[in-house]
Amino acid sequence: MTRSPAVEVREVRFGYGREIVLDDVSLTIGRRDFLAVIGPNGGGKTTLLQVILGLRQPWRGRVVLNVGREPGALGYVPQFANFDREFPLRVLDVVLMGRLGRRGAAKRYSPEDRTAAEKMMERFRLGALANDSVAGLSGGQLQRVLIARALVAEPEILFLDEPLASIDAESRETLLETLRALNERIPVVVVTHDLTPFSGSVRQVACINRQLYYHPEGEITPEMVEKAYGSCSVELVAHGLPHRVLAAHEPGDGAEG
Amino acid sequence: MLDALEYDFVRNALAASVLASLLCGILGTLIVVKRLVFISGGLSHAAFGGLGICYYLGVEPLLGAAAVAVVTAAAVSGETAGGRRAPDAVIGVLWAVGMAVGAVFIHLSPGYAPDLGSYLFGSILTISAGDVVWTAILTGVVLTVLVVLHKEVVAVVFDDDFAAVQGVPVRRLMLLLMVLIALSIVLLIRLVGILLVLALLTIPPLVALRLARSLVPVMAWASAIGLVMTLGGLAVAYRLDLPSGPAIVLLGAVILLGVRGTHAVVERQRRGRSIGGP
Repeated sequence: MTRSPAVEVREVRFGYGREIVLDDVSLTIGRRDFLAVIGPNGGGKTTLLQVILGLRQPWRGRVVLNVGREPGALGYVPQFANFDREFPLRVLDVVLMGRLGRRGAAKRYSPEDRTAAEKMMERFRLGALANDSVAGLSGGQLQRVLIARALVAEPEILFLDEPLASIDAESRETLLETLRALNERIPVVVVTHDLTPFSGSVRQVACINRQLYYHPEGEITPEMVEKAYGSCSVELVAHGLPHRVLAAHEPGDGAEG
Repeated sequence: MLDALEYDFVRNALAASVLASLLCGILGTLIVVKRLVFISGGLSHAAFGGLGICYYLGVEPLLGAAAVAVVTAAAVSGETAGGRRAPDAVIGVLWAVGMAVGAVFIHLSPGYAPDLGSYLFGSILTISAGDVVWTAILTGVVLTVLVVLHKEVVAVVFDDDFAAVQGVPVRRLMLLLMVLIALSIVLLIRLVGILLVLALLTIPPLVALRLARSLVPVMAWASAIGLVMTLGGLAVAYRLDLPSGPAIVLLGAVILLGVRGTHAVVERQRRGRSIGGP
């Protein structure tokens, strides 16, 4: 049983309206993978994550999850920028949401849930903020809250969407360390526009720009980047980002390979 | 003024005010933080169409309003749960067409339509004991749902994607909430009228958001403020011989401006101190 991969994405097509965002995307995530998903803005990074998590139904193809099938066993850190910053909710309440699935429907959070949440808040230096409203948090603080919420679930697989956005150096080290330790047991999938901070951890890289280009050794070849970022010249012109990513990562390539 | 309590209709009005304040404080908070105000407006005005049709057919008008509100809520909640909201324009169309259908059928109804004004602006003083019982039942249902599914409701309202990943049936829960909102709106039409329902759903939560930092306390504050609004508005209307619905809303507007204004001044002073301080 343990030999089956954690996740299999099979020939998935998905889009919004008439626009195809993911075209014939296939991907296998192994049980100890540390996969980075990179690609240009609008290339489908976040959408791929949402399809794998079951938040979007693919038009064609299918996603097979062999881990994280029990409620609460899927770890998910969404992009923090999408949140309503006026929301009246305490930091502790948000972190506790990570125990939703584990606790089960219509049951109250138990003392163990609270202990777990408090421990996770301590680890991400949120202890003093537990009773503060999320409305007053900085971007980096909210990011840490969302990470703590995902980890308190004790997930069997972890997906993170741009987890380092606007996070401070100390929390960045805590997160990277935590992810490395977690990856001893569970697969980790991180969507990022900047591979540099993950260069010591990432073992597989997928470039996505409507289609997916996979590299199992964590090294990015010029051809991959050319395919992912260059397959659509309009994207290249529209976004300045790809050049920066390419330039920034050439020296750091092949961390594992 | 206490002698007014001897009358049944005054007692009914008071009971309805308490229940409506509770209902609005709870659901209004969800509506405001989840940004469902426009959808709720669309629902209540679509409901007006059902109300007009039933008026024409000689059936209890609130029944038609309830039926349309539930069906529309079901259609709309499918859109909201998928991460996408029902298109703005569609809600606008719903709003206008519902209103027009209601007006046409009430116009076509034989005889004079004396209740039209009260459906628009409410008639809290003509509430029957039956209306009070219905509002009490609905308030009980809403409270039960919130107590039993508290953590699920909070999660869905804050972050429906994460709730879905955690295995919460987001679509069904949103449908339940929208139906409860729609039914509440229909009952509130009796209280302050279709045009003023929005005010009672939005003003108390907007005030309460300045007074508390967590969802349940905001709901409690909003309920209390709703009560001050309705009872105070009724007292003002009684004293000054004004229509009750508009008096309630205007009192609410005064409270909102007062609290928001005070809050802004306090914030400015706090900032000024922290910049100028040691």
